[in-house]
Amino acid sequence: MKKTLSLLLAFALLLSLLAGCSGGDAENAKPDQSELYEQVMARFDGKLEEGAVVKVLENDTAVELGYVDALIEAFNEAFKDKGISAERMNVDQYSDLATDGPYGYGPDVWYQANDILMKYADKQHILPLPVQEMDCFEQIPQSAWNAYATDMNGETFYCGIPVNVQSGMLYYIESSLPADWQENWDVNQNGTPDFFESYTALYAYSELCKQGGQPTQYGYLDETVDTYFMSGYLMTFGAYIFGDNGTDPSDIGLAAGDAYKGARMVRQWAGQMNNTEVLDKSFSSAAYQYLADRVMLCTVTTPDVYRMFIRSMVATGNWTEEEATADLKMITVPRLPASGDLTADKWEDTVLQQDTLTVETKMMGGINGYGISAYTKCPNASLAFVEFATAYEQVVLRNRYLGVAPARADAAATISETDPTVGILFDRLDKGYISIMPAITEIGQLWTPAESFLIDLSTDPYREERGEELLFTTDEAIQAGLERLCTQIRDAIETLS
Amino acid sequence: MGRKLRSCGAFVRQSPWQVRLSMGVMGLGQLCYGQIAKGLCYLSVFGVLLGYFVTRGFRDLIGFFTLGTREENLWLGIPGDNSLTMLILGLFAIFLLILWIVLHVTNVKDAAFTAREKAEGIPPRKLRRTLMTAADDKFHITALSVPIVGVAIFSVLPIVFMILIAFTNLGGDVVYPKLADWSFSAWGKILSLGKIGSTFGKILVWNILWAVLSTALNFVLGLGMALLLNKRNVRGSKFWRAFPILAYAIPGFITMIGFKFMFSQSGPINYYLEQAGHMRIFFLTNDASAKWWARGIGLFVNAWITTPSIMLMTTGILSNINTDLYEAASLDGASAFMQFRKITLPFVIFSTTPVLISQFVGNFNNFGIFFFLRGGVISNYADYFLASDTDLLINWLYKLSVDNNYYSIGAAISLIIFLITAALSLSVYVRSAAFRQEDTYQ
Repeated sequence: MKKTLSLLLAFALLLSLLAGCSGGDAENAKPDQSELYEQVMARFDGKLEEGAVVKVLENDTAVELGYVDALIEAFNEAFKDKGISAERMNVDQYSDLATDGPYGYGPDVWYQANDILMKYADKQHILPLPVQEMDCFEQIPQSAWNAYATDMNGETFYCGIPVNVQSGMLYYIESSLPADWQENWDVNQNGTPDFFESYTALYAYSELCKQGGQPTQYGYLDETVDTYFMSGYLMTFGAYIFGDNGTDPSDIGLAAGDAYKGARMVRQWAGQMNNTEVLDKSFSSAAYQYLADRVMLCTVTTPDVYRMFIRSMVATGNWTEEEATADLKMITVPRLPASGDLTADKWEDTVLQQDTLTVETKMMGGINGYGISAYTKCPNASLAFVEFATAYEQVVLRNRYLGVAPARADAAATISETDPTVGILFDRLDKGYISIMPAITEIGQLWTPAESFLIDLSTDPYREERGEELLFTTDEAIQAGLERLCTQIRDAIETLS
Repeated sequence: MGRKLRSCGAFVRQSPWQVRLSMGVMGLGQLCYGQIAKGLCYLSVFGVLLGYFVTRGFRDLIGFFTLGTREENLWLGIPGDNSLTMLILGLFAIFLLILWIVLHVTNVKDAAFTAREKAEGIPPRKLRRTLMTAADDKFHITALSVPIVGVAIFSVLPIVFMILIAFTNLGGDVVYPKLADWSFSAWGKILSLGKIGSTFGKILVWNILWAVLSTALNFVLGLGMALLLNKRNVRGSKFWRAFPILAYAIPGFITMIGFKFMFSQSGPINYYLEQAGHMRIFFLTNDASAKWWARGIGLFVNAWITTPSIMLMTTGILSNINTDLYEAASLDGASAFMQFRKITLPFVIFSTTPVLISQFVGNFNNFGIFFFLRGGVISNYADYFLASDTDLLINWLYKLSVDNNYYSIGAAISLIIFLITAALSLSVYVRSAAFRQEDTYQ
């Protein structure tokens, strides 16, 4: 009996010894990291480079509106005891990382759109970052992280940290609305003008503006030759840029699905606007003044130029800064008609029967974020800056200065309490209504053929008046044009490879 | 060649041992002849060059031919070669090698000269005598040696570097950290019937047409204005001359940007056209209908900027024509046009031929005009590859190299531009009266 008891006690002691062999606190256990990951992240050892000055290249608008100086000042204050600081690089100091980075020129930290950063990451000029160890990792949706993902030997690395989401939003000035909009342009009585809910209604209102008697000369005006915004018409009807989630350049899908319907509507808009200024790339910079001067009711552009509209409104002398901020509105873009024809349905029906007669508009978008140059002499200091700049407080501050929609869920939730559009943009990203720009090098060959096609399409309505033959009068002709576009992009990619 | 080798062999066999020492090590022969300062100079140069080649020069020479053997991995921190750096350092090593050979030959010649003088009983020259010779008989060598070395390093080396880039596959995907190779792929793409080849052909035709038309137009307008303002019955000619000078004084790119705005879709010309009931015209827009409008506007703007300088130059030339010639021609019954054709025009062309040639070359490579008027436009409609229908070769070269990083193709195009402009300029100049009858109007 005694021996049995002794054996049991010895076994119990052994068990307690084995308990001591556990891996420690499960919450602190790191996920298994491969040897390749360890090798790639070896330079980020946490030891800040004494005396390092991180050179930061930021966005022009952020510099102009003072956000970057505020960010750098805050960083320098927070890290003054740690012996590192940051300074802003001027735009004219920008140098091509690929050609100048090896010789010591260029920024350490670069804020840019995902497609541009990933173009450099593709050639290893931008470093992969230890993002899983950052506090922002859980706050940013995977779709945003995917914009900075790259593959090396079958392993995924992230070469940037998403900061804000960019996509087309509709801008308008509330005081430019017609006085009778609540009676005549709100058939579903939801407090939103119908011409902002459906493009068919917007088209009808724009036609009314042309007849005169409305507060603005035009309803909707936009640069119909801009690939970034007009591609949304194609994507809503099944087009895509590159297959396999934007990674396969051999599969160009701008003519896929019913993309011709979207292209048809671009042509309709160009004809309706009847203003050749929209065929010029200079329109995008003139748009701020056109809205402020009430030449047009609304236009579509990205949230990061919000302050440029405010500035133009204040410059007219008709608004103070506060009045302009209260009067300028930014909302999600209207829905497109499922028929692909802006004149096929009655506009009232497209508002009252949205689910059957319209489809949610897809827009091209991008995720702006921070990347670290592979040629930086201070990777740890640069990482510290990036972590600081992507923290909750700084992301909220960026929104306050620039009006941009953050990619962090916690910041988006806070900002949405006062500005619902931020939540809408975040929601659209989550639901896949924002098609993130592909980040492969071949995207560079999209723009010029696409712009040429859009110019051809947009000038078609004017050809008859000029005594020239119309080119895109049928769906087959439009489809053929789209297929030619795909061929031109493919040729451009293959010619110089 | 065989005779040269035999004479070299004979020279080596028959030279005194001091000269043969100099053939081995620079400066030893001079030291043996008691020319201590000169010998030490040669020896130290030999030491420096040898040290350079031993420590890195030979490696750079090999790297010039291989353009790198190990690719760098920036993410894993694995060091590697940079093809561009190896190309330029290899080229520098070649330049230094040539310099070494030149210095070595001069060292041997100097030792041989001293040996000949010694055989004739003349004592070897000392430092003072050598310096006096350098400042007198050989002053041209003394004065030009440093500028020549400077030009070789700062002018010739970059040009040769650029030419060599045209014979690599650098650009596009092949940029650091990837390694480049020697290749004719850039030439293959330009001279083939593919997209690049067809774009090159179209642009070349337009470029030559542009250069000829713009040079001719500027000359005719400038000469015309000079003749008009030279007439005695034109009142206030000084006042009228001031306006073209204003156009000339304003920086060219401001003028170009101004005209770009004037002819834009939202510019005043289109505004007043619309007010007058006409349609707006696509002057500079990226549209097929804008092709000849844009080209014409380019010619007009270039004439606006350049004509005043031609006018000033021809005004000066016209004042040098002997008026007795016109008097004699009038007496012989020659009409005004005949006098212009037989007296004025030949004289002006004779005097301005070199200027016209430089104007032609300048217009051929006139980057700014279409860069500022139509920057960013790509005419995909007619299968132009990364170019617009108004681009000159230099503009296309810029788009390929700077905007798209296709360096080897850009370098190949720049080489072609040089060959064309050099060939045209030389052939026109040697056939011109200015070259053949240099002393006619003296």
